[in-house]
Amino acid sequence: MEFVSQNWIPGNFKSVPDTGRTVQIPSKLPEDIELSHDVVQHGWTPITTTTSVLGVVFESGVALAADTLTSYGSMACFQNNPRILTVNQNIIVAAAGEYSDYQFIRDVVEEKVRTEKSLNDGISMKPKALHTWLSRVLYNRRTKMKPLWSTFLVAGIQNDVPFLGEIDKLGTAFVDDQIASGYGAYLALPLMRKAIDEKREKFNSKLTKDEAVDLLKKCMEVLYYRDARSHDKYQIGIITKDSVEVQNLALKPRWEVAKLVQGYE
Amino acid sequence: MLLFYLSLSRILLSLNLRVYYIILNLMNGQQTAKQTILHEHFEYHMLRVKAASTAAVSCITLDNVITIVIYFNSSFCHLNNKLSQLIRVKSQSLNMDTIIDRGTPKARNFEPYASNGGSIVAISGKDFAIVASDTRLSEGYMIYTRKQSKLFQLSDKSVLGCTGCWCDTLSLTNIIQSQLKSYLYDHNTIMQPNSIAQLLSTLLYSRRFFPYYVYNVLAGLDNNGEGCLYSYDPVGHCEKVNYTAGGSSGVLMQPFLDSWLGKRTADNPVTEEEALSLVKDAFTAAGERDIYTGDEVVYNIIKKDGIQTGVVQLRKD
Repeated sequence: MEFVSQNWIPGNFKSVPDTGRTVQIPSKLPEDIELSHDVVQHGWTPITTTTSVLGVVFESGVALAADTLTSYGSMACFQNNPRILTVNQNIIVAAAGEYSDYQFIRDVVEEKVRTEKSLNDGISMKPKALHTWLSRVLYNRRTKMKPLWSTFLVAGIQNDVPFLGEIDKLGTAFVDDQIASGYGAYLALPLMRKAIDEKREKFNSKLTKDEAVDLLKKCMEVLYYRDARSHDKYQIGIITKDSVEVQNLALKPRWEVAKLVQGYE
Repeated sequence: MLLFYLSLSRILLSLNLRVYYIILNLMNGQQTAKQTILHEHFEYHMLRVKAASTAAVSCITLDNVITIVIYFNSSFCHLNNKLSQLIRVKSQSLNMDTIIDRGTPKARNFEPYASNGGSIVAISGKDFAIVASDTRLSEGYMIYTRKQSKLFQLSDKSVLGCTGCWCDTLSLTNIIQSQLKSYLYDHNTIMQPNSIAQLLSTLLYSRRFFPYYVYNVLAGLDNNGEGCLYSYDPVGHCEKVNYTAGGSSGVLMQPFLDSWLGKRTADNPVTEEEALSLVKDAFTAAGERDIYTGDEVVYNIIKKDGIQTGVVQLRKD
């Protein structure tokens, strides 16, 4: 990445990527185009969006879940857009919000990883580093009022300890054992907190890997029934000290109960 | 070039436009040689019409092709057409390409601040200072996490408590901590709380027109080993106080502290035990009435021989 020299202002760091969406100025304007008040400057709103992501820490690692749907407004536009990224053997990242902003960050992160690999010194990025880096990038862009409209969940293993953190589009960053964004924060997070608290109170231990994955599957099902922007195909990314895997899964929704709902005929 | 400027200034003059700035990049061979800001020359000719009427013009020369970019705000879009035609005519005679643009995109419906809740209480005494925060980080009806302390230990003699917009808090505390490191390496001594208090005020005021939306309380031990406390507003107003409450429950807890500590005199100073019990009571009461305060209280008691930390449980609903 190129280091652009600029005046230092608080919250402004030299290595922060600042491309992304800007107005494309054509080299020459066709004569027949009328420039008038009907040229609308659109507001900065997300266009192609993805819904909740979930993350949960278990005894030996972290699991993330996100479906593969990218919506265009209310249209289920792209149904096979994965958004769990394997950064390296230490980190997986999942994103929610504007898909193009995720793609932009993914490209930059992949370049960082390539640069690291080419150094060939055996040192690779750790999750806390990426979590902090993302928080600075997103905060920098929000301070310029040009936000990257995405929420990121960073999961990984740092010094043999599982790590899970979130960064939202403002740069609000925090760490917890269970995190959900969007609708997941309302529908899935209580289920996740309940499962984790019960396990801790009854057995004084954390979830096992299988319990964590089952919990995420249940949450994805609950979300599929009530979140209109969710999808039945989803991915679960699991990272432990020894392995990184991303599973492609599909729900088997049961809609036979739907006819029991009364009053909307 | 001069001819172009004169004609442009005449066009803008005829349209009663006020030009904010005009930047000229002169190309010399391959790279930009110099930048000249010519607004002094232009403002002389410009008439001020409406307060909201702003347009900015920048001229960029690339490979001997001059590009004019005119930035408008939305209130001036009706002038786009007329101006673009005029400039096109003028520029054709000068063999220039013209482009009209309505400004770099800024998120207009984007809210850069969030209110992430949380409260701070701090009390200073004869030989100690206590500062406490709750650990709930929330936005709206959503609890992000139940275990986010809002206390930042700046040195072994000072602790900063921050509530408000969490993303600003993270940025501000990172900057303070890096400044304190610079100070330590420059002077081979840690910065005293009164100096940190001034630094924080300056940092906050440096963003006067896009503030850090953070309510700060700085607690520490001064040069004489006495507890000291500084309370801030988001734009850098700083006040030395004996006790304070801030954040989402500040308005609930401040009167409580006033009633207990407001009329204390020097011969009846608050003790450490009393201060800690007041902090606990204040938070317990606030947790009952404020949805943005709860889960846990973490407190730091700053004394000569170090900082003592403790946790008290609050309502989790």
